[in-house]
Order: sequence, then C-alpha cells, then structure tokens
Amino acid sequence: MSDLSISGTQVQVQPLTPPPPSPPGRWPFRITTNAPQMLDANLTPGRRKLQKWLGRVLRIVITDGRVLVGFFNCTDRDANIVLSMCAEYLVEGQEPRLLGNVMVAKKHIVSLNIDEPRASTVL
Amino acid sequence: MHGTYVGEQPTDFQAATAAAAAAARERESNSNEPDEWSLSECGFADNDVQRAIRGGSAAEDITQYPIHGWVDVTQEFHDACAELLPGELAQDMLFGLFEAMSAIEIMDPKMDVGMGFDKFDLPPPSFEAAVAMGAIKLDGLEPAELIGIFDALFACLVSWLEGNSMDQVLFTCLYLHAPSQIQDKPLRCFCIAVRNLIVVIKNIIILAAVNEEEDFQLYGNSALLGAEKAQPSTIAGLLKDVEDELVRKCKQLPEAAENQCLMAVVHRLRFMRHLFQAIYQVELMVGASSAEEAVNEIYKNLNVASELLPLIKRTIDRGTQPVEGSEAPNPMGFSPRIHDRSQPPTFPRSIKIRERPASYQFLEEMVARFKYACKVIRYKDYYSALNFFIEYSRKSGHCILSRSVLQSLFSSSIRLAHGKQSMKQFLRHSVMVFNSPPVLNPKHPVSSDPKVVQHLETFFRYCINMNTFNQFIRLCGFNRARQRDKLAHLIENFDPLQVDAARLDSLMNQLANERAMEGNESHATALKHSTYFSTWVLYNCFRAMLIYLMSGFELELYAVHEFLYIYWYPYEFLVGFLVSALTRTENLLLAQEEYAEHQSRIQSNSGGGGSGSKNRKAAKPKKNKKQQRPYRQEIVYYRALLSLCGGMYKAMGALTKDGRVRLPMSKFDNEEIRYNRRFSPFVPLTSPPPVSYAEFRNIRDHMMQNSAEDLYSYAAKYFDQARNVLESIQNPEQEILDLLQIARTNFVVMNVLGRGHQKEVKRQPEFDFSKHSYFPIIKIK
Repeated sequence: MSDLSISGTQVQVQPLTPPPPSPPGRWPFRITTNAPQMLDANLTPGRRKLQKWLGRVLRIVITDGRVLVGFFNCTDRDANIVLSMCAEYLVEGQEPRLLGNVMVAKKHIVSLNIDEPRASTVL
Repeated sequence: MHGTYVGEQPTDFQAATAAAAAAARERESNSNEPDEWSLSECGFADNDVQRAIRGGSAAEDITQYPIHGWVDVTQEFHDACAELLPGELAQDMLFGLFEAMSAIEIMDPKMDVGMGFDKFDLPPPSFEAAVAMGAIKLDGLEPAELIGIFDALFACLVSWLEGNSMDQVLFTCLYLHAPSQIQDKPLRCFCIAVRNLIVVIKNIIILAAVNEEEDFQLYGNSALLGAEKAQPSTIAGLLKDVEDELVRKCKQLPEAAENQCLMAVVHRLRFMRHLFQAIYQVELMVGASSAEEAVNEIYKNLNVASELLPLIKRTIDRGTQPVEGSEAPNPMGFSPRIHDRSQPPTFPRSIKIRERPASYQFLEEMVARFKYACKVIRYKDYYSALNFFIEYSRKSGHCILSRSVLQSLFSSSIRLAHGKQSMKQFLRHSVMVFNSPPVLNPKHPVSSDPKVVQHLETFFRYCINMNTFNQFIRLCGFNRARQRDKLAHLIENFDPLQVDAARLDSLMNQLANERAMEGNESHATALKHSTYFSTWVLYNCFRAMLIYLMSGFELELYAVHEFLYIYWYPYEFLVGFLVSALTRTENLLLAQEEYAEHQSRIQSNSGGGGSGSKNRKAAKPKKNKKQQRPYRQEIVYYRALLSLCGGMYKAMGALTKDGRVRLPMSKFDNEEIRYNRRFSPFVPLTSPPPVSYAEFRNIRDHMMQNSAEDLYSYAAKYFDQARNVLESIQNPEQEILDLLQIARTNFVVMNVLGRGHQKEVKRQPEFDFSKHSYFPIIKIK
C-alpha cells in the first residue's frame, strides 16, 4: 500500500508520468493466442510459429537431465515456458511423475521438441 | 510464478486474457467458425475438460505422447520468442491467471521436488534396503545413538505439528516404517509409541476440527498411518517395562559416565510415556465418566513430563548429532527424501526440520499450554468460558495441537459438568450466571409458570438451532487469521438472535401486566422490566464485533490512514455499548438483590423469625458484597479502552490535519469503499444500526474544524484519562501494565507534538504495536 502513497507534505496529485511508447500493434497488452479469431495474416513469422505450437505437446530437456512433457501453454520473449498437465521423467520411458502446471525458465532449458508430423510425413 | 513473467510493461494475465476475449468478440460477427470459440468462451468448464473436448478424446493422457514423433525446435523456438516484445505473451487461449499462479517453477529449490534427482542417483533407501546395506542397526544400539534418534524424532514431531507433511518429516525415519522388526527393545518401544502417538494426535485434531490447511497436514502415507499391532492403551506399559529394565542395567554399571548416558535414554522414554499418556487421555476424555478425574490424571502426567524436560535438554549433546549440511535430522535411521516423489506436486520441497533444542523448547511450552488448557474445566458457564477461550487463543493460538486439546477438554467438560448436560442447559445456566433472570431461577415460583416455560423453551431452542453461541467459542480455537474471517459470519448470525431475545423480553413484560391484572404480585415483579435476554445477546454480539475490528491491527490489515475510522467506531459506539450493557446487567442484579432483601424482610417481620430466617440474614450480606459489582473490573477495563480509542482517534485526526499521515493518491483512492469494506460485517445487524460513511464524514469534518494543536491536546487528554483509569486498577495484569505504558507514552508524544515539535518535518510517526495488539505506541523519529 505504501508505494501508492506519497508523503503528507505533498498531497497533490503527482503529474502523470508519460505513458510508455506504445508497442506496435493495436493492443496495450500485446498477446498472441491460438484463439481462432486471432488467426491474423499480419503476424510475424515467429509469432505465427508460436501460435501454431500453442496447445501442442512440448518436450523440454532441462539442465539436470530431467525430461518434461506437457501441453505448451505460454511463453514470453525470454522463452520462459509454461506447460500444463506436465509429466516429469527422470529417465524417459520409465514411470513419470505427474506435475500439473509447471514453469521452466529459459536458463534451465537444454532442448525443445514438439510433437508433430515430420515435414516428409505430412499428409 | 513470482513475477518471472512480468516484463517492464504493466502486462497482467487477466488483462491480456480479457483483451484477447474482447478482440475475439469484436470479430465474432465476421468469423465463419464461431463454434470453437464459444466453447472456450463459456469458461466454466475446467481447463482439462475443455482440452479433452477440444482434443476429441476423453481425458487425454500426456504419457501417450509423442504420437507423431519429436521434432527438435530448440533454435527455432528461441528465435520465435525473440520476436516477441518485452512483456508480450504467446499464450494458449485457455491460459489464465490461475494456470500462471499454480505453476511450479522447475529448478526452484523451494518448489521443485524433483530437483537434484539424477538418473544415476540411487533411489533413497527404504527400510529394507537400508537394513540390507547395513546402513541402520536393528540391535545393540549405543545409548548415544538412541538419544540421537529419539531427539531427532521429537524434532520431527514438532515439525509435523508446525504444519509440515508427516511424510516429509516423521516418516523419513526408517525405523518408524517397521517398528516390529527392530530388535533393540528401547528403540522398538519408542518407535511403536511414536506411531501410536501420531494416530492419537491426528484423531484429536480431526475431532476438534479447528485446523486449517495452513496449520496442519492431516494426510500422510496411509500405509504407515495405521498403528502397528500395539494398542494405544498398552503403550505406557511397554515403555515402563523398558525404563525399568534400563534402570536396572544402569545400577549394575560401575562407570558413572555410561550411567548418565543410559539415564538420559530413560528420561526420554519416560517423557514419551507421560506425554503420550496425557495426550491419549485427552482423546479418551469424550467417554470419561468424570471430567475432573480425567483432567487430574492428565495434569499429573503433564507435570511429570515438564519436570523431565530440563533433564533432557541438558543431555542433548550426549546423542549423535546431525551431520553438517545433511538434510537428515540424525546420521542413522533417516532417509530424508524417501517420500518426496510420492508427495502431491504442489507440496513444498524444502522442509526444515527444527533444531533439537528448539524442539524441546516447543515441547516444553506445549506441555505448559496443555496444563493451562486443563483449567478450562473450572469454567462452566458461557461468559467465563468465552473469556478463557479468548485469552487462550491470544496466548497459545499458534499451536494447533494445543488449540485442539482445549476444544476436546472443554466439550467433554461442559457436557459432563452436571451429568450429561445438553447445550440448552448450558446456555440456561450461562444466562443465569450472567444476569440471573428470576424466570430462570428454579427456586422462584415464576419459573414454573407454563407460559414462561414455553417462551423460554422456544428461545433456547432457537439459540441452539442458530448455533451462534457455540460457534463463538469454537471459533476462538482457530488460528488468528481465520478467526477474523469466521467472526464476520458469526456477527451476521447475531441479528436474528437479537430479534428473538428482544421478543422474549417483551413477552415477559406483557406477561407481567397479565399477572399483575390477576393480582399475582410476585410473578409480575419478577417478569417486569425484563431486558435480561436481549442484554445477554447484545453483549456477546458487541464483543464479537470488537474482536473483529481490533484483530485487523494484529493481522496488520489496516493502513495508517485508515486508523482514524477504525478507532473512531469503538470510541463512538462499540465500547460505550459494552460498558452500558454491563452496567445494565449489574443494575439488574442489584435491583434483584434489593428486592430479595426486601422480600425477606417482609417475611421475617411477618413470620416471627425462626432459626431459618436468622441464618438467611447472616448469610445475606456476605453474598451481597461478592455479588455487588461482579463486572466492575471488566467495566473499568472497557472504560480504559474507550479512552484509548478516543485518544487514538483524536491523535489520528491531529496527525492527519498536521500533514503527518501519508494519504493515498486521490486518483487511486476511494475512502468510502474502504470504509464500507471495513465495516461490512456489521451492516446486517439491526442493533447497533450501521453507521453510514456520510455520517462518519460529518462527524470527522466537525472534528477537523479544530486546529491541529487543539486536536493534539484533546488526544493527550484522552490518554491521560486512560492512564488514570488504568492506574486505579489494583493488582494489574501484564496487559494492564502494557496499556498503561502506551497511554503514558502517547500522552507525552501528543503534548510534544502539540507544542510544535518538528513542525517543519512532516514525517509520519511510527506506530509500534509490539506492546499491545490493539494500541500502538506513537513514536516520532
């Protein structure tokens, strides 16, 4: 609460700090989702790729050797990734432990795999 | 997620999701495929279900993947992410704040249970594995090893009681997994006792039902929860046998040093025995025939236990000590991470087991708390029991087992107070003790008046159905933060009771008129001017309100600029109401006594003074003295509270006027909303009627017309008044002394500020609540 307040001597409204330069795009909060209505031809190629992957199954190998497999839910510029219904494998193929929602920071990511038909096998 | 996602821009998930939804809605009319969106837009279906619907299969199993095969996208992915702006999210359409908040951060040492496991790691040893490896001894343990294990187990027990999962503390001890396979008798018996103790404690806490998820973890490895063969009733005998054996062995030993080690083991076993007995008897209390006897028994055990603790604390260093840097509380017998992977994923990973000296300190205090809880059986009526519970909660509110023990002691005690007593009898008795209405006095002829009986019956049945009084006492057993929550609901429930009590009182008055018409003077007098029941209900309601309001200070919920109206309300209304309710009660009692005296005088005048009336006369004055002012102390206490609230109210007014209180920026602020929120639980009540924000503002504006100097001096006056009242109390308790210090200090501070000290430096003073949870010492830096 204290950071919203100012000291008693200066109980006037502080001048508004100028709004940060608005990012390109129409939204104050820029997001990319895979909602069908967001399918937008003007998206950058990277965004389109992320959009395609959202909701798919992603496999992340992390620095301590564990493998996390879960639905790709969210990411940001720093490649922090949120997976849902995640399974944790100490050794792949062995019994996993189910974790639910997890967040993996970029610094722990070794490699990323997406479950998708290879280019050659596309129907 | 701890803000990992928060970029420089004020991006928040809800806003983002809302923006996406708005965008979609805007385009919906143009869209050819609205079906899929409307499904997710409806939003009520849980995420997994929605995904299942979307995926077209029932509950997808993540372990089936990959279906197609893994394609490495590492570089591609990072490149794509780099295109995003700072703070921009690429998110699944079902992703929201909830998903973000519930995610476990991988590689966070506090959250990630799987961290630190390696495919080359051996699984943490189980009991069998540890035995096979020779890592744990099953026989011929040295006294030092025993002491180490016992101390570690006590530390685990304490850590469990402090809210950790029993799997992650107690059941990391491999010995507890299979006590019957241990050959070493002292260790076996001790482990069996611990296993049984776990079950007993769990039962007590479940029955008392004053636990919340943040207090206590009820669930644990179910396979280990059932006690092994031994029954709880045999534990004391088992331990006693081992003790005797060790003591005998001890006597044969010539060396003093070894002797002492062995005795240290004996002390721990004995402590365990008495602690176990005490706790086990608490569990049995419900079925005990005499609460007094049972409590005496418990008290005896607690006494022995508390005498043993200093001896045990002195010998902690004789046991094996935990290895530096290891998670295990003892070098032998513990497998710290054995249950990590079977815990729910959201469980905290990092568990800190208490140090041994601190654990014994905790146990010592816990035993003292139990002893204090035993006193509850003295309180057989609602008023004194409630006072005891409020006091107990203030002193021992942090320990779940102590709170639960009090609940079970009390409920078995009131039920057994006069044979099997029902809640109705308890309440009748309580009103009787509180202000003794003649209609409840079985000796008074009016109490058998059929109409009176019927009305009373209806009222008390209603009280019990509402369960409000019962709840008030139970509620004091919850932890302090939850109490506030629950009080808000309780206060609401007082309203129908008030109405019913007022109705009962007016019925009594009506009846008084009827009886007077019939010429039945004595009945009419007994029924006349009845305010007994509404006073009783109101008094309890006011108390709940006061505790609710003031607990906000203890829980640090109020901002400094809110103090003004928080102190204003009790000052202007609540405490005054309490004082007048108590004064009225005292007056009722006095009037009754005068009447009784008057009656007996008439009787003795007409009845010609037999030996009986002489006795009565001799007994009367003594009783009078005691009865005269039963609430005097409490009234004085509330008077002091009233002055302190007044002082704080004026002080806050003065400080605000002086510009020393940091106020919220007006564009973020709406005082009315905050005011209404703070007093919202009081709104449903008819009495006292809710005070609107506009009324409050009028009163404040009126006060603020004074100059800051004047306001400071008013505040000082109030603090001075409080000091005078507090000083008049004889044999003051610690709380009174603390309040006195607060009143004195604030008096001085107000005077100093009133004289214009630090006039130029408009710094907000510090409010130090360390002396009392309701009132701060105001400190100028």
